[in-house]
Amino acid sequence: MSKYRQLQSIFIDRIEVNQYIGLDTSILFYNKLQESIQKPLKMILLYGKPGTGKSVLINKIYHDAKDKKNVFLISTPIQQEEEFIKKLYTFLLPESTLPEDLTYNRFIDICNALKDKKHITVLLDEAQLYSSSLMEKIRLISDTRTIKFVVSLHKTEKEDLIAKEHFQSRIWETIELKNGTIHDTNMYIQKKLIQQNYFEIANMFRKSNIKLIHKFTKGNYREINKLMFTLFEIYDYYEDNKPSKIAGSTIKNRYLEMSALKLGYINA
Amino acid sequence: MLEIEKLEKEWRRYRLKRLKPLIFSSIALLVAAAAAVWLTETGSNSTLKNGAEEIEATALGLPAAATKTSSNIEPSVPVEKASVPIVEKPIKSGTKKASVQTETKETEKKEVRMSRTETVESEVTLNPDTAFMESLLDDMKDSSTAKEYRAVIPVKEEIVASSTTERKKSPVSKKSDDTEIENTEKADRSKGSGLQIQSTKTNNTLQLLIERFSRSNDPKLASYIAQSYYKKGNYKKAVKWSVTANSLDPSGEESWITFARAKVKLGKRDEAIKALRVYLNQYSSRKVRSYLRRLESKR
Repeated sequence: MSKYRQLQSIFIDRIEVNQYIGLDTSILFYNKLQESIQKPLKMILLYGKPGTGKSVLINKIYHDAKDKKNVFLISTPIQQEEEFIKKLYTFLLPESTLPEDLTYNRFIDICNALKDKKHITVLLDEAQLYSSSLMEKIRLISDTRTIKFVVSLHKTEKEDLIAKEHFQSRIWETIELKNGTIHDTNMYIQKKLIQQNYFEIANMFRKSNIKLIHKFTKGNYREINKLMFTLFEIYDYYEDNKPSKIAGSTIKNRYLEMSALKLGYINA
Repeated sequence: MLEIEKLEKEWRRYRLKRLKPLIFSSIALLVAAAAAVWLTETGSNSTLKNGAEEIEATALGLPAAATKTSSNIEPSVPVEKASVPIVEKPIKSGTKKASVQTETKETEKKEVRMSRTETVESEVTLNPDTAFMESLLDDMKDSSTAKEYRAVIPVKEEIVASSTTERKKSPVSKKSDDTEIENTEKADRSKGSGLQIQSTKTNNTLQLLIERFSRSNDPKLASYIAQSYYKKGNYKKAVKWSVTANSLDPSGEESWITFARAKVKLGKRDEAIKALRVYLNQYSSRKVRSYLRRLESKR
């Protein structure tokens, strides 16, 4: 595989805990979330625009904590109430003891019975996909204090409403994730490249490149990944067909602009 | 599949679109400048012309305005008549006054004298108003103060950074690129305390890279560390790390270039040239050759 094709793969948008990039702000959120989990809270709300690193953060928390504590992750929402309750039951008690007719009310009773004996934390990713009625039940389950929920959801008008209805009246802790600054953008790109030993490529990025990347992506990590992927796609093409065009020791803003055009950030 | 030709065309259109306002504004600016020059020249010419006419009129014993008008309309038109349209045109008060009096030679002379003085006055008013210079100077003072203020921040930052690294001796002018990025960040963050955190974090990153190098002994990583030190303005460390990179992989051109660049910054241009020549004796590199040529030309 060519160098630039390998570089493209670094910026494929996926959640890989071992490729977690510890930026100043993300470390701050990570520590804040860790602290919140330690507190005797019922629910913790983690929200922000898509691409601000919520899923990465929640996965990192799960990865780091799963061996030490009773922390569980539901990364894909379980829409069916029965299925969801069963899943929670398996987190609390062995699957072999799972009753066939487990209803929501019975599960609440089980939780109340376990109140002082067991405490677990359940991380719910993409929580905006849960129905309002299920969210209400999740809230009531958390009231038993046997299960603590960390709810991660996208910040849109509709989801703000969900947040308002189900959490804001009884806010325990909220963490809002935001897009990165120019400094974060720079560190993100540098660390991603250095992590994979692309030191020379990391050195090719100048301040003007970073400023342009930040301008196009507004510091959104998903958009940065997309832009970088396209940039290296263009570089890969030139390396195969017109290598003289990419000669030089710096990244040319022209190719960043071409990437932005392809992704529709700017128009001709 | 990437349609690069289409993308290139699109980019050219985009560039043109971006350049359009710039081109138009420069054209507008040029036109405005040309117009200003033309107006200034016309103004000074008319003043000179007036002056010349007045002198001529004095010589002939006639008011300047009369001469001007007579030359413009008809040579046979009497002086009194010629004075009328000028009275109607209240452009130059000097000429106007001159045209009112045409009775006797003495009064004419007096008026000519008056017109002269007033022409002088009008010339004075045509002179550019220098009042804006004062405000400009004030602005300059302000901007210089702002510059001073800006200059203070890196110093502070340098001090903060030096507490964690060996940057104590590096002069303020040798400000690192990272620090510069952080300075631009300053606008976003606008809090001085943020700068301290940034510097420490950046140094921590470098520290982590050094630790990583101690495990991997990767020459590329050593070269990257050398370049990072160079960007930070720590040229001695940059030399040290480029030598480390160099000893692990003598063919890596980046480490040689960083070595040479750091040496130049340390005022040892000859050593830099010597090192690059040594490299070129063994390896061929367009980049090294061009940098060597640049160094030699500046000698």
